[in-house]
Amino acid sequence: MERVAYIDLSKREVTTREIPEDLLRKFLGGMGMNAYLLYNHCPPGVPALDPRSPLIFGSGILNGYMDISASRFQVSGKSPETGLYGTANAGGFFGPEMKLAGFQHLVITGKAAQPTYLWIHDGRIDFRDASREWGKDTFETQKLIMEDLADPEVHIACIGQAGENLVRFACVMQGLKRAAGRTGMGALMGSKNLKAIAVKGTKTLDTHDPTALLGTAQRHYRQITKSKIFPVLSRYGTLTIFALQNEGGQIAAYNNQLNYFAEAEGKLEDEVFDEKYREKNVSCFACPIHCTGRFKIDSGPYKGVFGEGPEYYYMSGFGAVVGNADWEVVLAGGDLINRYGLDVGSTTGYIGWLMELWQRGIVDREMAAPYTLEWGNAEAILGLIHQMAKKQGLGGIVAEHGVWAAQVIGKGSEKYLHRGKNLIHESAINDRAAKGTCLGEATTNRGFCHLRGRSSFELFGMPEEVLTKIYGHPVDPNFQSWRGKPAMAIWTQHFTTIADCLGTCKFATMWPGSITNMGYENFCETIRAIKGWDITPKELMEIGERVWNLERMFNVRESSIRREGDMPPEIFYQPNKLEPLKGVRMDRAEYEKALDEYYDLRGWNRDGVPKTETLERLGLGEEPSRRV
Amino acid sequence: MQKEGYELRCMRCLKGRVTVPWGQTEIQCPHCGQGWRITWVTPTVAKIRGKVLSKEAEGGASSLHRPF
Repeated sequence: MERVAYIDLSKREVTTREIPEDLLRKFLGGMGMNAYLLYNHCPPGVPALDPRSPLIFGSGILNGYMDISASRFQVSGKSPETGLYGTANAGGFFGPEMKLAGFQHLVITGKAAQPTYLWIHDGRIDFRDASREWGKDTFETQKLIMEDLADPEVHIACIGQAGENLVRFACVMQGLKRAAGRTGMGALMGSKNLKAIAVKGTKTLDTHDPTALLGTAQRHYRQITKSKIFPVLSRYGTLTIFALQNEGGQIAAYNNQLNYFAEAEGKLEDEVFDEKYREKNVSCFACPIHCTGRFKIDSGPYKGVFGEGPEYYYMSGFGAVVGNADWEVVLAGGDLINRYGLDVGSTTGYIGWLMELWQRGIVDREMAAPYTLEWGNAEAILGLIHQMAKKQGLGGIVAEHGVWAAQVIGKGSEKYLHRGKNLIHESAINDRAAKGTCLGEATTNRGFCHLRGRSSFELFGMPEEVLTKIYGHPVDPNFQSWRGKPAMAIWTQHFTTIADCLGTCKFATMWPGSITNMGYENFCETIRAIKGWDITPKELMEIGERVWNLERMFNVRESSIRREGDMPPEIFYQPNKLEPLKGVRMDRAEYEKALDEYYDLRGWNRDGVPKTETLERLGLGEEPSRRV
Repeated sequence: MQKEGYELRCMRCLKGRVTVPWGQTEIQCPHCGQGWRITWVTPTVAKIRGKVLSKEAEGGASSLHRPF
């Protein structure tokens, strides 16, 4: 039986409850049950960093089982960055280990009197002193806790100095690079004096049909490893996306001023990383893709920098976004944010923004001192990271919040700060040309998000009959067309939500654009083997819709932001400046029309609020129901 | 029938597929003329690495630099 632990850090008390099976089937685990717990346990209107504001960890419902690529854990809460629904997830081993230690979800409230870490094992939760770890980066913290527990095999989710200092875009880290990045869950953790959670799984999980599960896992393994993208992903990981975005004229170079980064040619390429820095690839729990490159820099000014990753987001964020084509600066920047526990999207977005302000003469030498913020200036890129984490200097101003920083800087600086739902725009993303993808990303509940809204198939020019088969209705193969795209965006949003409820990595699914990777039918096979439920793709899609609507209701309850929060950043209405896709832009009137259609299809009013009958249809009419 | 090479989609124009003969490290898109450098991930799987480097870069970064 899946259990929730309620942890009060102020009182140092733990209570546990089992999740009723009918409730589990409504929300599954991971992101879905996290959304339920947040809606039910976050007092309406409470400030995000108030001790009463809950921090919620969730394992996916498939985590801990020998299913393929089910490794991801979800961290949720009211976002200190946006004041809205906050959530982020990460891979690695923490999610499965937490489940095997006895808990699918943790609801953490209160504030510890002194720095604390939680030690979860054998169905127990212990409060332990973290004074020694406080002030240390995420690498050192994990090492110290392993020493403290005399066990190098524990898995640890923790914050760095950025979370301790309540930087609004601090993240939760596990291992060398696994980051639950966006929406500031690290600051929420820091506000509770909670430095880390260490887990070790020793329990077994009930399985309805172990033989069927083994067969399912074997089939899914063969399915994934025979896909066309497997050889590429398993060698280059997400770095391979960079060329796709850049050569297609869909990159966000120079804080989204240019859609092609010419300086990358021959330098900032996944092959260069592979040839010069990659030592080997490693994987998350039970994943055959092993997309993570472990690397080390052996010489030069960054000699000794080591780590795992980097991902496309690092390559683009510390590359094109800030005008840098030096791989070693990308790796050094990624190393710093992983150690401090800073989100790559927000960090590089703010650096890009400040550099554009310098370019335009809005930020001057006195304000930027001791740096000059020329595009690609390594000293400035890395220096701003230190400032952000320590809340010092110009970087320290944005660490408080971008909108506030724009007010401090003034001179029209806000115009160049791209954002949505109070969240700084994903720095690496320029999807103004791809209509359905842009709509799906902009309407995401946590703020513009490719991980929940990107319809990758849209970009691959697939035949209409293939798209129709996937999405269940006609979709125009031209990514610049709007026909069928609102429905496609909704399909994608529900699909990605289900992946996050299961705890399954999206790169093992159809999401990156592989029709032979796992889809709804595969998810059902695994759930049937594990739970014995006669579940169908249609029921899974409805669960995705239910979770999406509950997240939306949290935003409606906590904020007055409505329709305006579902719009893309203003820069997307400006035409791309370079080939390919030169001159292409998002048309505001067309977007508004598509947004109306999106709302109608969802059963929401024109302000983006779910109608009563929609909530009733999805079984949400009684929320908050406080069943767990 | 044995394939003549690996099929890729041109990242620039996305019009149809381009066949890269086995082992070849550069191709030109028959639709838009763009030249591409090719990486062989495995002996039977190819990917585009980037533009052919001899082509003059068409970036506009210099126009963004601070005028003072």
